[in-house]
Amino acid sequence: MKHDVWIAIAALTVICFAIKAAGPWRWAAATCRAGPIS
Amino acid sequence: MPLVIPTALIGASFGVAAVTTGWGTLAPIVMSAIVFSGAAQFAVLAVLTAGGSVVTAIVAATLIASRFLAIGVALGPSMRGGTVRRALEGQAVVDASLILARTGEAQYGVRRLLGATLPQFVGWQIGTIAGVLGGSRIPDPEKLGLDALFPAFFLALVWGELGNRGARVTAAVATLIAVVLIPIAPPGIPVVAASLAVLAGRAAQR
Repeated sequence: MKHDVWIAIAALTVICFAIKAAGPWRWAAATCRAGPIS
Repeated sequence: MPLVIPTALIGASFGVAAVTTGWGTLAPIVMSAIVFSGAAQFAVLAVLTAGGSVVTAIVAATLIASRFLAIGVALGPSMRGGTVRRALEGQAVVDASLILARTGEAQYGVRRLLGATLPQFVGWQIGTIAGVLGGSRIPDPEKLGLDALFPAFFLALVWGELGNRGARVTAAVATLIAVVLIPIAPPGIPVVAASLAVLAGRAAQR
């Protein structure tokens, strides 16, 4: 259990950082214009 | 500041649940400090506690965290600077901060975002540590009704965006997709699937 927990922590550290970092990039804003709803 | 106490209590419930299911004292605290995503953390906890594999836990948490991509895209036009600055400021994206950072239709203040997230981050850490160390002496947020606060914030966020027909159709279809899928789909899927409602909203605007 503890081994799996640390694997999950390591993976999600990278994944969550990447997801949060990618959203505000200019290419994303340009692709979606003014956001997901507007 | 009103979010700090419920955030701390939910963080405490995570700490209590993690330590009682055999995570030890360090792992929950480290996870809250560097992952800082309550829904994703609870997803990992739920999957591993139920006997699921670590891959399943990571996939479920990733699906849940993927909503931050859509939130980040919405925030992008309000941000300044290059890729590195945007990537770092994007780390401040958490659910409740989005509504507090809203300054107008599809407009957000980055300083507001940072100012809203920082107290929640501190509250989440204090709550997790208290839960790990305090155990069952921490009150259950659900019994206090504090778990309703975050859905209320989401509702307030959507309410401010319903200014045109396309947005209203998007919200209605997204709600329908989520309500249908929540009882039958794994955690995370309903949130991502509901994003497809944007297509219906686009069609309605034409």
